[in-house]
Amino acid sequence: MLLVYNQNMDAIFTKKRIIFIILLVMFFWILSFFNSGIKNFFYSQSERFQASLWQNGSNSSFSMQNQEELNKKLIEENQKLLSQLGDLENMRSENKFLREALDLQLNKDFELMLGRVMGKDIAKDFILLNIGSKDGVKQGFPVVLSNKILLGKIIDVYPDYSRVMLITDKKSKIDVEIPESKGFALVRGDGGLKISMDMFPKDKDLNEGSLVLTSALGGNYPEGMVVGKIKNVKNFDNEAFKKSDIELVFNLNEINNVFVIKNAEIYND
Amino acid sequence: MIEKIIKSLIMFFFFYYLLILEMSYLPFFTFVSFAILLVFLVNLFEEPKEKLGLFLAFFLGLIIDIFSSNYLGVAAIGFLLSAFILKFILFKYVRIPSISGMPKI
Repeated sequence: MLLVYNQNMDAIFTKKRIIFIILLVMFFWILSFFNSGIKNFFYSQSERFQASLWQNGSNSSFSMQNQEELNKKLIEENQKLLSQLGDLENMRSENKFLREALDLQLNKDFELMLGRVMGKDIAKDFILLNIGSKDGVKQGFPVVLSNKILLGKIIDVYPDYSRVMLITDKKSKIDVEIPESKGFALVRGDGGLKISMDMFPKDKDLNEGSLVLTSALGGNYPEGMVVGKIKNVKNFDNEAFKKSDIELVFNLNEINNVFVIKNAEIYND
Repeated sequence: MIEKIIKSLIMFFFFYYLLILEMSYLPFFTFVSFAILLVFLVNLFEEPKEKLGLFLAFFLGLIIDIFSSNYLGVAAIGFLLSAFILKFILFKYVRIPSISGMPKI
């Protein structure tokens, strides 16, 4: 493959190297027609390994964050492990997640699909789910947690898997409302699991800790989903709008299961 | 020839599992990508005329493409070119003592 590398380091782009790169680009261009199938194949090969790593990582990190909770959790887990097998434990946590959703009547408002998180993209704010087009997932479907917390939306769909762009990704833009201030604004992803708010009217009060919900204005997400809480309000004289950071109300490290909202005709871009 | 293919496959699967580990387990603890760091260090300390670093960069890019929303080849070609340019700069302008025990392809 890299025969053209040779001993010649005098010129950076020789004729042979340029031809090699063009051939490589053409090869990948042909491969791009099978993009979805190839990716789906590799995801299916690593699904079990990836899912178990995510679950283990989630448990370990959660424990490291809070020592007291770790002790409680370990005692609980010990008791559970004595009486239950590992598979049953997974089913139990899924049931709990579903029960929470039922209590909040999330399933009455929306048609939902349960998906399991397999991993996070190393460079961007994307996560991979174990449900895909075969399960009815389509591009643009919103992804939420059981307690109406907005996580993001489906950006790529493969036969058995799908990729979610988190609300913190730089491409993410959400129309939001702050019910406490009765004002509307725009939330943008800053990357690195951070988001901020812009375009909030100057004449309205904006308090720290106010809840930020999705509004129906944008049409990309269902109305009334929790985006986060107001933090660090910035009110500069030379700017037309107020800005603020937003504190996320979910911790990605603790998420194993998510819900995909199936109402495509409303929420597709 | 067969030996080279086996070596390449071993490298591919090494990065394949390393990247899965980074995506599914390490995000909880660190934001550093060990795979990218490894490829950078190999290219930095390898003799500029050796090819291992280029192979590693290509395979890592390819696997990043598989596990991201990129089209296949974007990161593979990007990483390969970056590694080559790094090697070229090192060869032309910088002298870093190379690690002689590094495997060759």
